[in-house]
Amino acid sequence: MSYKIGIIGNKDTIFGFKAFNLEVFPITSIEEGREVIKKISQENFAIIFITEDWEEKLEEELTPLKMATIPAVISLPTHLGSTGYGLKELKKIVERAVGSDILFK
Amino acid sequence: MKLAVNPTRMELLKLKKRKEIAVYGYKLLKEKRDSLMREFLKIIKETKKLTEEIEKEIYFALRSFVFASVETRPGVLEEAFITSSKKVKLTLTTKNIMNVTIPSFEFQEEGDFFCYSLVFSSIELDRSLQIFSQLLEDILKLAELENSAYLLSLEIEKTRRRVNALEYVFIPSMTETIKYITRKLDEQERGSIISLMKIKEKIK
Repeated sequence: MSYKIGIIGNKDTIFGFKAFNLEVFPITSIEEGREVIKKISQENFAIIFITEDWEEKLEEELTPLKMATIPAVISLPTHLGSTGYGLKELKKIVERAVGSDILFK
Repeated sequence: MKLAVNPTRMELLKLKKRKEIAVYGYKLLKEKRDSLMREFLKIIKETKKLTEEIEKEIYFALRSFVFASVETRPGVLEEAFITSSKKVKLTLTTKNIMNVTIPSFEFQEEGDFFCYSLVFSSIELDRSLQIFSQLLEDILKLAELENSAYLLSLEIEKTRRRVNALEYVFIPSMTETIKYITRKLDEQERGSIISLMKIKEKIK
């Protein structure tokens, strides 16, 4: 069984992934994002990429997806450069597991 | 904290059994926590390295792509990708670490994405797609690692809470209650012996 890979974000940023035949979901508003996430959770996606700016806004909707084994939800920086959101998420993970931040000192 | 139970021999036996099980469970959970932590640290170190690498590189790819999409006429990009035969086939196997199911992806690339007209597309497009395609393997690896780290951290948190609850609340309160019942029973015994002695004296 093969699984699908999806990517969510602004169209201009993510449309390049269309060249790899990934499923591209361009969104422009939070409502659209919610709908896309709903759709994704019903199909067999293994990996969801989402740009950092949208992940921040859709955090609440993404949490249940993250708790499952698949899909894996991963944030990517945007063309404006990294906001450090990805590393901040990692930091949170470390803090939850270890109790204090041992990686980013 | 003492549990609210009647100080009877029955309760004492029950509590002793419960404590035994609790101590056994505590030992097991502690071991689980330690080995989860070991796995977690291994994964998180790799994840961090990979995240930093990808964040550095993908930025250029995304920026080139934005330039490309500005430079080309609207619609051309959509057309350019229609004929792309590049496919990423993803298969999923799951690993089980201490009862946490973590994914492990395997993928195969097929075909090529250079299927568009060179006249209408810009060099930026070529460049960004090239970087994307180089990064793809790393990104998929990162997806696997980051998700595993996330899932493991949830499990570690849960396990640690259980271990602490057993160690600092449940087992001490059991111990205290067992002590209390033992003392109470001893006291009763002494009381009854004294009253027996008194009665014996009176009968004499």
